[in-house]
Amino acid sequence: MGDLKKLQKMFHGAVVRDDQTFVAEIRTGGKITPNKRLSIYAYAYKARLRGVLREDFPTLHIMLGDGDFDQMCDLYTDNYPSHNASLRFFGQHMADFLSETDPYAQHVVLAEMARFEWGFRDVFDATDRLPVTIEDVATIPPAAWTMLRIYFHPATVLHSFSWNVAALWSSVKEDADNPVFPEKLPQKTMVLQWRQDLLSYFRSLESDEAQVLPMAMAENSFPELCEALSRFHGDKAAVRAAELLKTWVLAGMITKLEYADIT
Amino acid sequence: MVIEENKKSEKLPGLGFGLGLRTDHFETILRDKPPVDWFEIISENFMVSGGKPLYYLDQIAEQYPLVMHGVSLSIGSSDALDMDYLRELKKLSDRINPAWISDHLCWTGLGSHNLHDLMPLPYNRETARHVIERVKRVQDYLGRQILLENVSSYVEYKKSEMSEWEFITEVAEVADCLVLLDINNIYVSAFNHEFEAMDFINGVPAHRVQQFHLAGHENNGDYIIDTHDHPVVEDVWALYAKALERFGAVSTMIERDDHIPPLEDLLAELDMARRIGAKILGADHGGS
Repeated sequence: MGDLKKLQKMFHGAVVRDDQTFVAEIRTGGKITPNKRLSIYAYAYKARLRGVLREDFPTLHIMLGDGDFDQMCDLYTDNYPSHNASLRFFGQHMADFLSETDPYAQHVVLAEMARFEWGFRDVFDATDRLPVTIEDVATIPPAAWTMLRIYFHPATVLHSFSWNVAALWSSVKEDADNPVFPEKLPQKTMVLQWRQDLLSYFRSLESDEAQVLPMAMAENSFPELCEALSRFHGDKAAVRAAELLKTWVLAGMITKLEYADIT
Repeated sequence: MVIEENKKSEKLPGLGFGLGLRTDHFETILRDKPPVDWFEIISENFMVSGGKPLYYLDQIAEQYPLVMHGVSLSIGSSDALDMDYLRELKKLSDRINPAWISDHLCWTGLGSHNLHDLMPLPYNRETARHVIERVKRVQDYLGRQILLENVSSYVEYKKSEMSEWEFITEVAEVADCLVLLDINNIYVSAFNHEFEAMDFINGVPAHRVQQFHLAGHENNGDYIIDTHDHPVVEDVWALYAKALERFGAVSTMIERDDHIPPLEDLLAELDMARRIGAKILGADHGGS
């Protein structure tokens, strides 16, 4: 296999790094030169991956514009070459890349938009789980609420953004007459993405929900959520916790209610 | 070169005239139940955990025969076989029970870096031995024969010692696998490397050819790029007719990978394939 490996290594180098040593291994003849033949593969490699990233990050593409987006894609491809059988996962490191690579790192909104757009990819095809219903909640014995823990659907994603990423995204998606421009928020905002009946949704969270949803997703108990909410709602904290639980259940976000069998 | 034909092998039952299953058409297919005999899926597109892709796949699998067509087996790579990929392939196969599983006679990556392109191989003894051993292992793992497809290519290696069709024949006969002939790819490679497309068609053993692909391309004058994003051109339809004369009835599919048109456009192309099949082989034998 020595020769095959050597040839593939040279061909690979030509496609990825524009290394021209492989040209000498190409048969001459026909209407185009060996260099032209090789360039077809090198061009297709970049064009294909740019195309995939344009599909996965449509708003990021619009924010950067064609030229800068393509240049960014090529840099990304060099830094995070695909190691997966499916192109579905190629863009998975985009937010990390943008937050660690200048000049993009100087514009935090870019990495945040990448994280948001990739969130839709993850929500879209995350593992299926049957959600619990309001009727399931109604069967929890009163005494069991003190030990209740809730488990979330795998298609539930939370982000903390310091820029108006969700509003920007909506503005582009809806092609709004009055477009929204990037703007740093007065304080960080939590944005939730989830899937219900195969459709993907998102919304920004009020500060009390932003406090307890990460706790709930980290499997803190219902009383611990109530305690955290008491900072916002005093002795009405349990009511608010129940209200949030109902919201999450109706959104199809909860797949399991766990409590000890006290009957 | 004379390859001893492995007469033990028999082809799988034919499926007729099919289409590549594309996301854009999921809902139309379930709503209208179009007259398509079978669908071919891109295996990697359904190697996901859940959500819409698998939901629609399960629904369509209940109503149509499916076959799986992969792009990342990399059967000719000098990397070790990717067993994680094969596990995922088997898992999907167990889920939808496809009539068959195919991939390409090519390599797609090196050092675990996937180029996501169908890279041609040097057609020589060393490569044939390497590919044959891997095809046997894949078939053992999957518990079934696989189909390998000829790719469009833009380079030929100086180290090639045989034609592409001789190479395919050797691999298919010795590894006991089946062949998916992409008629467009034959046309594209014949143009780019200046060989006779009919030499290719006449050079592949009929008892190995299980499926045809028909697709479009982009002609740049001095060379043709296999884009699979245009309708099938007249010359490729003509070559398809010649292939039917040579191979008889073979399951035939229109493969569109980009610039996906409305389903009705693809159904019209499929009707064209049916008409050619009926003309060459008689009304009852087009693509079965």
